[in-house]
Amino acid sequence: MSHTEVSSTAVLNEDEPRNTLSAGFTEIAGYRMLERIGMGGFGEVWRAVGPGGFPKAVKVLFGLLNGFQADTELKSLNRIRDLRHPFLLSIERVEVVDGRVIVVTELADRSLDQRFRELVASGQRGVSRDELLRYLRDAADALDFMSEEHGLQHLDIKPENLLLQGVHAKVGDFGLTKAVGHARHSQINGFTPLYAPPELFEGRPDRGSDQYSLAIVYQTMLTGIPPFNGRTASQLMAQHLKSSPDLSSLLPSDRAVVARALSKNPRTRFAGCRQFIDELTKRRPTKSLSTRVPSESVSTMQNSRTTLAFTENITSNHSMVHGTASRLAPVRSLPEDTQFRPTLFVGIGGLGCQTVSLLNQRIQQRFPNATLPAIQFLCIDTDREAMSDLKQRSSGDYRAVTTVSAPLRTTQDYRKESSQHLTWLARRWLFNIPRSGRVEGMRPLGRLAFVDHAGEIRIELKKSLMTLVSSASASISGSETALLFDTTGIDVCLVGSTSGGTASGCMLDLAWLVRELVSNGRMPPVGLTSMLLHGTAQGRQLADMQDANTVSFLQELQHFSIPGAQRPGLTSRFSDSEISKPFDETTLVHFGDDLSDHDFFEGANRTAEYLELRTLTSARREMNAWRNPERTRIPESHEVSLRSFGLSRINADSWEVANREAGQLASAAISLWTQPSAAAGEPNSPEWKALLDRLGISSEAMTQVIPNLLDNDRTRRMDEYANSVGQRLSRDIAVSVREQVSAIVSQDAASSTAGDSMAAVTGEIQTELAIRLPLDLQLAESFLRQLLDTRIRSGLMDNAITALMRRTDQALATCRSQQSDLQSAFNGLRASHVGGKPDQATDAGHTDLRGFCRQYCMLFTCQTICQTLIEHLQAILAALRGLHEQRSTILRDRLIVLASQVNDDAPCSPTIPEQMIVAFEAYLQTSGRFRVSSFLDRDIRPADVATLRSEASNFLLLSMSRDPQFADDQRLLKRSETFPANARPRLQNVGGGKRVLAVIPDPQSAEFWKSLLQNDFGPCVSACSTTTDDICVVCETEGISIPAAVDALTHMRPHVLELAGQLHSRHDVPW
Amino acid sequence: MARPTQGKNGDPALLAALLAGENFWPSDPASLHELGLNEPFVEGLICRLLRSSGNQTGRMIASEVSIPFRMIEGLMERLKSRRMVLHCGSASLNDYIFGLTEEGRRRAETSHSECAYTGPAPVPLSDYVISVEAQAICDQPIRREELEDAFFNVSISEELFDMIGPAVNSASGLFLYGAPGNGKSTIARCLTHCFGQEIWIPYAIIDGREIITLFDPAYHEIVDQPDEGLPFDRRWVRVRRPTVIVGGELTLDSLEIRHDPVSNTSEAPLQMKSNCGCLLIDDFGRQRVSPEQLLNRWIVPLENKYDYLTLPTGKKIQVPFQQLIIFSTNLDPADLVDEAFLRRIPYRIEVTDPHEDEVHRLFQIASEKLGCTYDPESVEHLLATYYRSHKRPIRRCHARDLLLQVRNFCMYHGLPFEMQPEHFDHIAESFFTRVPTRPLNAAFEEALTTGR
Repeated sequence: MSHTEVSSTAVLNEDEPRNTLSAGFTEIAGYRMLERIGMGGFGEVWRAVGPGGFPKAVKVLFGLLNGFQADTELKSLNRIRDLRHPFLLSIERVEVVDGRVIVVTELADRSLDQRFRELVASGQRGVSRDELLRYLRDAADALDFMSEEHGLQHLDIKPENLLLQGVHAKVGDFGLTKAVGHARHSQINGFTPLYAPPELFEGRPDRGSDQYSLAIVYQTMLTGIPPFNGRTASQLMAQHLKSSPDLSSLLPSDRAVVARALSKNPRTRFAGCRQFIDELTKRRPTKSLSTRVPSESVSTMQNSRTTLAFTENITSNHSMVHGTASRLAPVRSLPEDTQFRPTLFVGIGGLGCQTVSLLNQRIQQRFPNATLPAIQFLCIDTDREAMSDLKQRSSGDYRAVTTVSAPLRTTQDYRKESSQHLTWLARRWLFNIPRSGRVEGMRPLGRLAFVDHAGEIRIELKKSLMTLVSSASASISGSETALLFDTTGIDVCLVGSTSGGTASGCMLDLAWLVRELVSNGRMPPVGLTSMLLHGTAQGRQLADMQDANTVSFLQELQHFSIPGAQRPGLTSRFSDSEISKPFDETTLVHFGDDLSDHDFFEGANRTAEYLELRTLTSARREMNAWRNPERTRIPESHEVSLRSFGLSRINADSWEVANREAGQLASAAISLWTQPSAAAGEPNSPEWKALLDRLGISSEAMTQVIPNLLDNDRTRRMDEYANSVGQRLSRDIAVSVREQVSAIVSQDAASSTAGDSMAAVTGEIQTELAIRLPLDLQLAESFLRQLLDTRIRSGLMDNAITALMRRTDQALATCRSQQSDLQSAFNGLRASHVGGKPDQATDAGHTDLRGFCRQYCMLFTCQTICQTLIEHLQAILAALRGLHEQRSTILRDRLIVLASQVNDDAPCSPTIPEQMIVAFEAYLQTSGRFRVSSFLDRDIRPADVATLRSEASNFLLLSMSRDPQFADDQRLLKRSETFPANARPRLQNVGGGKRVLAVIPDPQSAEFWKSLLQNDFGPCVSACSTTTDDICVVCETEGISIPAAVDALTHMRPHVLELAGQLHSRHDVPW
Repeated sequence: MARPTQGKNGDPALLAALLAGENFWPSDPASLHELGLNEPFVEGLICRLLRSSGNQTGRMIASEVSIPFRMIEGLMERLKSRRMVLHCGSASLNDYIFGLTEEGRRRAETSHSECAYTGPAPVPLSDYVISVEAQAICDQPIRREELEDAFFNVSISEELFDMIGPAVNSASGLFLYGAPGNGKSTIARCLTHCFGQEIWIPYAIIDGREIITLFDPAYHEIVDQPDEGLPFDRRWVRVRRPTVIVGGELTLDSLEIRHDPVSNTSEAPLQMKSNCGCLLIDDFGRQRVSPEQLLNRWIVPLENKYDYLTLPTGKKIQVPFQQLIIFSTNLDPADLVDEAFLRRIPYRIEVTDPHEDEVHRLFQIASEKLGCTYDPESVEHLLATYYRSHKRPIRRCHARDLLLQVRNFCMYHGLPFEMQPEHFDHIAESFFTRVPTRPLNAAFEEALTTGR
């Protein structure tokens, strides 16, 4: 399904430069684009000035990418053209320019979505009930009109599509309108999963579909909380299909009404949208409820965005309230900063321990057989089994990892000292400790485990710190590894998952414990950093909980970072601490959502790699420079700011091989494309058949074309006309009737003033065919484009054009034979009446005469139509010929140019097996970044060469690193963004600034890599070299504020904030 | 625990419940060990069940003894391999119908003679203790609004509200006294409602080999059990916070574990059944036991929040005493007990007769409840004719009782049920004639009120 691919990529890479329009650009003659006012999966909407200076909205579809959508849009526009209703946004013009469908509509003031945002920004929960119902009533009017009068459903009702003008709302964007009962295509592309009714996922739209979406719009716009809170399209789909909606944010009186409109079974909903709105209006709430909300939740709602791109995470694409990270200038590192610091890594909880032991493995591999007392590892977990596993392993090959197992005891055990714990721990946690003795993701229990085992943890921590600061350890480590260790300070890095319970519950206390030990033991200054890992597993409930844990942790972190904040420690020992911030540096790593165990492992591995780079490689110098306040001139503030990072790694050799061979592969592929296709014959797809039907050149369509053109209305008019001619015939003159008739007909045809004349009908048909011609050609062309994009080989397109021409030829022949048949019928009719019988004055004779008139007129018209049709087909044929010559030759030439450019430096390509090329084509289709069809309209640009090359090298890299069957695994393909783009941190749109570091094996190629990465990341790239075989790209963002991160995690899900409130690790602090 | 596999081994039901504000959740046991019972005991329970109720499928057995089927399955296999039970047929979903063998029957007989209990498996006493502490009333101080909600259809004066609230929050003893018919029992019952939330109690408790049945349908009203999606330990049942009311029939025996020597099972005493709820001792002072004796029994529990009970084996067990205990009496507390006792029951609240304004309100509430329109003039007529002139005290229950009589009168005569002065005149004769025999009558009226 290549089209889904398009809509997702189109929205996801919003910060990518894209082939979009720019202001001032004139897309259609007479319309000047002013500014972009909206963008979605299908296209973008511009405010424009039309002829005469009238403001218009111009919707430009991303038709270039895929002919399918343009096709769909044209189809739906054809349906909507006949509809007139005051609350439907009127369409003024439809054009196809450069393969892009452009729709001009009237311009509305704003969309309901914009109105909602305005209100939310001013502190309201949402649109007030009265106002909202007024808008929805208008929309319901229009929707019921469409449904009742025309059997059409809109199927994409969402706040962005309800446009406000004055006090009224109009329904716009008929992207998906579909006649009920004619759902042939899979409906999964392009609609908005948040608002989509369950039957739509099954491809069976129904009369009640729009009502369902309208009900969701009602709740969401009124309360800001949608009834379904899934975070991915698949979760939403499952909820729409199975779960009952969450209506708790509505007034009790509204709930039953909305619940009925949200029935899974469309038949049990209200009879129409109007009835639904009527029911809501009836239940006017008796007392007006204040719609103000606390400012905290306002901030979360500000970035509410209701359009979701299909198949991907919401978190990665919500509107940019905090904006994308700005690009920070590279900072020059200090040459004298070459020392490494003794470091203690503390892994807390399952994921933290996993990360730390992976890091241990890496260091072990790098310095086999070396003793490194300056690098210490400590693992703390509540899971006894996991700890003993780790212990067993560390006793073998691995460098010693100290472990502390901190399991919870049973409630019975804690009862005796319950009064002590209950001062900070809520009763419900203490009395419900899981029988497994594990924390099971509950933060307060994580802290309880820490408090319970504080003694042991303290002893182990102290031991590790003492080893670290002893001067011997630095010198031993230095001599073993040939690295210079600093003895003036130490680093402590706490690694743990804030989405779990253990680490999230005790990391802050642990930080103070470290600080206390350092200050009591008179140790050198400590740099305390924390690595907060966050990721959500599959399953919505669990994922919400994990988000809430992290949010709760971040809130606590913020609370403690405020100078003078209430900070009850374990005991009073902590309170004299001078330092206000628990950590000197906090990094929040988002692993992603919907993760499998393997994904978590990958994330832990990446984090371990980053920690190694940061601690024990020359990249440290560069990263230190980023953190140097004097050099970066970032003002210090009390606000805690978070960092985040992303890391992408690739084997340098394979990258080089892939890069070298990419050009060859690409040029081999292109040369295959430019060859005429071996497979002869017509394409065999539903689209092909539909195209033939539409052009009227399929064998079935040929028999229907004249009856279709001569529809009921026209036949009736012909009949009336024939009658009138019959009446006009004089009864007494004995001249040949035929002459009389032809005289009248020719007279009418000449005058052609009368509305009922035959000429009017034939004229209409002629005009219709003339209008159809460009449309038909567009359709043919969009089909050909689609063929190019889905099958890529241009030879196939040639075949298709040839087949089309052959078909048209055949159709012409059929038309001609029909014409001759008509002619002979005409002659026969004439012959039978030429004698002109004298007894015409009788009634029977008169009836006979009328019959003759009718037949005569009909035949005459058919003949004219046939003639017009032949002309029409000839025009198509001529156009197709032109198209064929122009397109196929031009395309071939362009592709040849591309082939030569893409492989300019390689001497001669070794023979590449065709299978590989086929696989490459499949890859291109799924990735959707390179489209042959774009060369139909324009010359080759350097960017095309680069795109094709990078696609080829990505493909090669993938095929080197994965199973050869990867092409089948679309999910994998979609997930794995390719190097180096996947170095972007997952925590996006949270503001801050970013820097990129390329760690490369060969210092010579530094400039090359810098310039390469600047294409992707802009001018914030620096490079350094280490002794690895891999190329590693680290992208760090800094200066992320905690509210921004919290917003990103709770976006559209205020209940996560609520959960977070219940998950605070202690209840004696006013968070 | 930051393990990515959290979802697989965690207990989502427990988590969901705790996040929803539950104070206690009996999480679904994963093994016999987590049940806190040993295998021979559960085997004996199953054998007794099969003996008394005949052949059963594995799933029926599981639901009878409230132990998850997945545990019963293995148990039945082991019983079968030891030739205690046999397959009498197969049932749907990979299940069998089990019956006792001769050997099994012998085992059941032995087991029955030791203890005849069949029913939901008991939970260990220690689990019960935790559940009571987790769900205790004192953990939830109530606020004025909650109290007002609980008393929404009762007319209570402002002062009374402010006296009751702190007393309830103290979760110790409370004396309610005053003339009969003024709604002392109603107040007591409403009080439990302000702890509106439901609690979990086990059907039965086990300590050693002694089974104590706790669940009593007379006091424990079962409420909606959680959804299918939230598994829990079926040995527990969700009930409304209990309000146990005892009147003159209270004896000291009913405050001890009652042992049935035939079945060898025990029944929990009243104060255990009313744990986490409210124990109302109505008509205090009219019991066959003297007030001193009764109060002596409460001194230690009220002080320590623990009660010590003696098992039939002679063993003493400590059980929580977490409830609001209310003594309601129409005698003056000072006459009943001495100062030493009063010190233990710090709150003493007098429920007085209503003012005339309040009478109107009482009539209004009663008329709404009984379904007739409120007519202030009739009430005025009533007050003028029968109360003021006779200097007769008016009780809070009068409004409802008078209206009830009016309704009965109207029904009998086929008249529409209305508040009319003449209706009141008709019934007044019988209603007020008993006034002179005050002490006896007062007790009778009080009984009427509490019985309702």
